Amino acid sequence: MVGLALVFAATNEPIARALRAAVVPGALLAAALLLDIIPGPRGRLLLPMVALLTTLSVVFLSRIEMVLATKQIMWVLMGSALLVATYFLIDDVRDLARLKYLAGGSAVALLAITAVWGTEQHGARLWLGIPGAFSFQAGEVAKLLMVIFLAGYIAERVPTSGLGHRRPAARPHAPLTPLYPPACGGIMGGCKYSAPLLIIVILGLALLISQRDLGAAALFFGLFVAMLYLGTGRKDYAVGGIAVFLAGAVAAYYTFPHAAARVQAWLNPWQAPQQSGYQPLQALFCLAEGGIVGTGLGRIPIGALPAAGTDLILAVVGHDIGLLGTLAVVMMYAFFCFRAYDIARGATDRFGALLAAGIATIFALQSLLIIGGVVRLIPLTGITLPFLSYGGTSMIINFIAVGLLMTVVRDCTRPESGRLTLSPSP
Amino acid sequence: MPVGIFLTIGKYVFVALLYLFVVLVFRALVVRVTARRPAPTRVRRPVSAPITFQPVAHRQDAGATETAVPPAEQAQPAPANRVAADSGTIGEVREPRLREEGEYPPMLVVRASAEADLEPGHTFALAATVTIGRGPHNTIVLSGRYVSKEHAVIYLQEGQYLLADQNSTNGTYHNGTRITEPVPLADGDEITIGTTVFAYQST
Repeated sequence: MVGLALVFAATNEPIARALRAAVVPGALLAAALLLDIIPGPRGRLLLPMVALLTTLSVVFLSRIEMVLATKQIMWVLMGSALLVATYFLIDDVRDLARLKYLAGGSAVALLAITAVWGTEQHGARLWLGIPGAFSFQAGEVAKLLMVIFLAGYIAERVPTSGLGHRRPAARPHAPLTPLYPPACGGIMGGCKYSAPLLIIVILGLALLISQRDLGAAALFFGLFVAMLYLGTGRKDYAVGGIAVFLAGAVAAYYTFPHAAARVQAWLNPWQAPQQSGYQPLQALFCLAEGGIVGTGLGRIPIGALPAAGTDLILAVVGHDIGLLGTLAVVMMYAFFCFRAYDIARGATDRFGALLAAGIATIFALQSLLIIGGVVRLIPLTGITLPFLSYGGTSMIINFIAVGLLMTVVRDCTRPESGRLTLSPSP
Repeated sequence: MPVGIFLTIGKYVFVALLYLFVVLVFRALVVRVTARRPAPTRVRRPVSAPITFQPVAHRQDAGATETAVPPAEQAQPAPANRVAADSGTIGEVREPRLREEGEYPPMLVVRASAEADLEPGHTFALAATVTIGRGPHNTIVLSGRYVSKEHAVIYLQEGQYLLADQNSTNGTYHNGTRITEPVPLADGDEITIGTTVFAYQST
């Protein structure tokens, strides 16, 4: 295998670059695999899956542009460090529930500050920071803060029989009632408990839509509905949420010209192949050129694919390793989300369960939105593919999210033994 | 062109390696899902049974050897108990070894709890030292947010069980008053930790 690799390295410049670039993430992958064998409350399989996706990311970025790959390695290292920090600095993940209002408030504040002072790129104001020195994508940070807020709020305030809660809320024993306010009818009961939740969610959505970040807005709304449904187990919330989403989508189509343009480019990309239809068409060309098994890593230059390293990286994957390789990558995302939901299901604490489920939902929705966009299943929106796309903020936030998942495993999951059993005095 | 052949082989090897990883992950996930952990072994008393003692040996010497109950043994008494509760005869539950000794440990009975898996009526037989807290190393693990990692300890001193707080944030309550120093436990005393209320039964 090594010999084969050396032959490539000698004969093919892109592969040589990819091999050089893959050294660092490859080492991380090996470390993740090793760490996974050692028993411990870290959530098995999470780290190897993340490491594999980031390795692929660096390999494909090196094939697009070496500078991107080098920068990405830096982000991956920084993200890994923050993952470790998250795991060790958070004493107990349930303590985060206390910071829910801070998290929700700062999520909205971040979006608001970006809307006012953010720097504009491609017609959308998503970046915040000192231009030229340091900047980050506020939406990425806000989405994780939002998960913490939603998990904390729903776990504490919304009455329910959903995830992480296995008994009816109404109980004869009075001392517990503060946690479960009396059930009230209707959507959210119209009771005061729902006000802070709705205010923060609606503010966040309004800010994102006003910033034309439609992909992120869809992501936020999907997250809200999914967590409400998972937290309460009420199907009417899910159905109502989907109805509101569809109504909102139709309204956006008629209200915002840029939304209508996206839908037009999706339904009929040939209408303006050089303008709005350019991105989706180039993505499709790339995938078509790859065929079933692909053209080989870096052998044939990709055409004029815009945003190749970020939003449309899946098209590059399809170009180089074809349908087979792309399916493998898509399966990795499916397994990753499955594993994350599995962690949520195994959590004994309601906040922990909802936090894990929220993080899983974010990964799932993001993957669905952008993969569907690239293959023209749904309108293309500017969203990163977790762990694969180039992007500092998104990489770091995703790593922190994985760190949080691991703390949920550590703090909220019943150990294999030793819980609620009689044991001798130590 | 030989280089082209190599590159084509390499392409397939790359995809094959990717699939190898995918298959390995899939297998691991399948193993996880199909091999679900068995229900946690915990000594429980059916709520319907009026007075059923857990046939767990209690020794005053804290010698770890005898109080250690292997999981298999713990799991077994539960069905036996249920039968006994149905037939209404309590004595038959006792295993021969215990009947000879005729000694039953004091217990903690859960009166009320917001814990997802603690229903009223759950019983914990007391060993010589029982720690209560959120940390997984405790004898009785509570997950409520008002429970400290090491919250309280119940221990035996000169034949008397004492309840002591371990500097918990939200306190340990004995019959409704927050305790600052170890208090002796008497039959029927209520212990409140977080949202969980235990009753002490000295049998």
